[in-house]
Amino acid sequence: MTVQQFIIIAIMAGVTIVLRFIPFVVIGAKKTPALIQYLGRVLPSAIVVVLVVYVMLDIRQNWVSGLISISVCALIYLKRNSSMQALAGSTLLYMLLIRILKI
Amino acid sequence: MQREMLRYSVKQALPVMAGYFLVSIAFGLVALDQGVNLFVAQLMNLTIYSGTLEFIGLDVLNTPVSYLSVFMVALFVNVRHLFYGLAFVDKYKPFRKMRWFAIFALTDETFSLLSTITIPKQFDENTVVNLISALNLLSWVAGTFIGVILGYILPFETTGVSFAMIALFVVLTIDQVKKNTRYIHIVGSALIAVICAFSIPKDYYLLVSLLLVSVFLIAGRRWIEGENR
Repeated sequence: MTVQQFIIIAIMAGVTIVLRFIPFVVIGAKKTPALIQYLGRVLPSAIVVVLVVYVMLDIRQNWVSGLISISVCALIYLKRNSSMQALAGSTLLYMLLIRILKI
Repeated sequence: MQREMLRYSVKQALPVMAGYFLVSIAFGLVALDQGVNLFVAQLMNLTIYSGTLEFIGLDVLNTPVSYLSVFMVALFVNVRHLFYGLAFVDKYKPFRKMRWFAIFALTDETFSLLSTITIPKQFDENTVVNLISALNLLSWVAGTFIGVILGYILPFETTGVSFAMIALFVVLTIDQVKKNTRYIHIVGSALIAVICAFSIPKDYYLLVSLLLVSVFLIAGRRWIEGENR
């Protein structure tokens, strides 16, 4: 590892760690403001939704394969209630589809 | 009690462990491909521990790039973690055992998982959160090992493996929807997310949509909370 590589990793780690810790450090042991408490109740599900759309942005190229695989994933999970089966099955399907269908 | 908490944590963390294992195998393979050795890859895992940024890191390690760009990319890509901390301030406040680790290991998927599950009252929440966070991190580290080894043994073509992350989020979303009794804020956020997806360039998508969602949640507090009384 070169010095430059070390510095790059250090910057990425430093920024990420600071971002993760800021809310906890700023609020500390003080009483959490009511607004922040409210956000604690509603933000999680809202963020998950935003994240789902975000990761789907990555497969815009292969959106048909993506759509099919996502549907299969949801179906497997709803039917068999096994996240492992849903994950493995839909990922394999996606990898197959993008090679065969190329869409 | 310890063993029950461990068993519970493993059971809950399984979807994320599976997703992380698959994607980190890809991470290991790409690292090998880019000439990044196992030690450096694991160093990234244990200091940065953020999938998206780590993959970007693999690209950037061998390119002449300014430190300022690295800083800006890291900031924009990972600013969402600020929101996770905001949502979990109260949750983690009473923790006295290795709270710093729980905060450090708060990744997208760990956050999503922890906000979906309801930890049984007889369990020590601090311990369970730490266990789940550790299990996820372990899976990520293990998968990287396997990926690098596989890369040496097989000529493996892994395009598409990162779909596992999407599948993971689909599963977590289904769990979230099942858990929630109120939908108005989910629907509103979904609308904002989709509109942003079509109008905001990918680099700014997360920052802009999270800000808009926060504004929506704060401004609409009366209606959102009112729906549940």
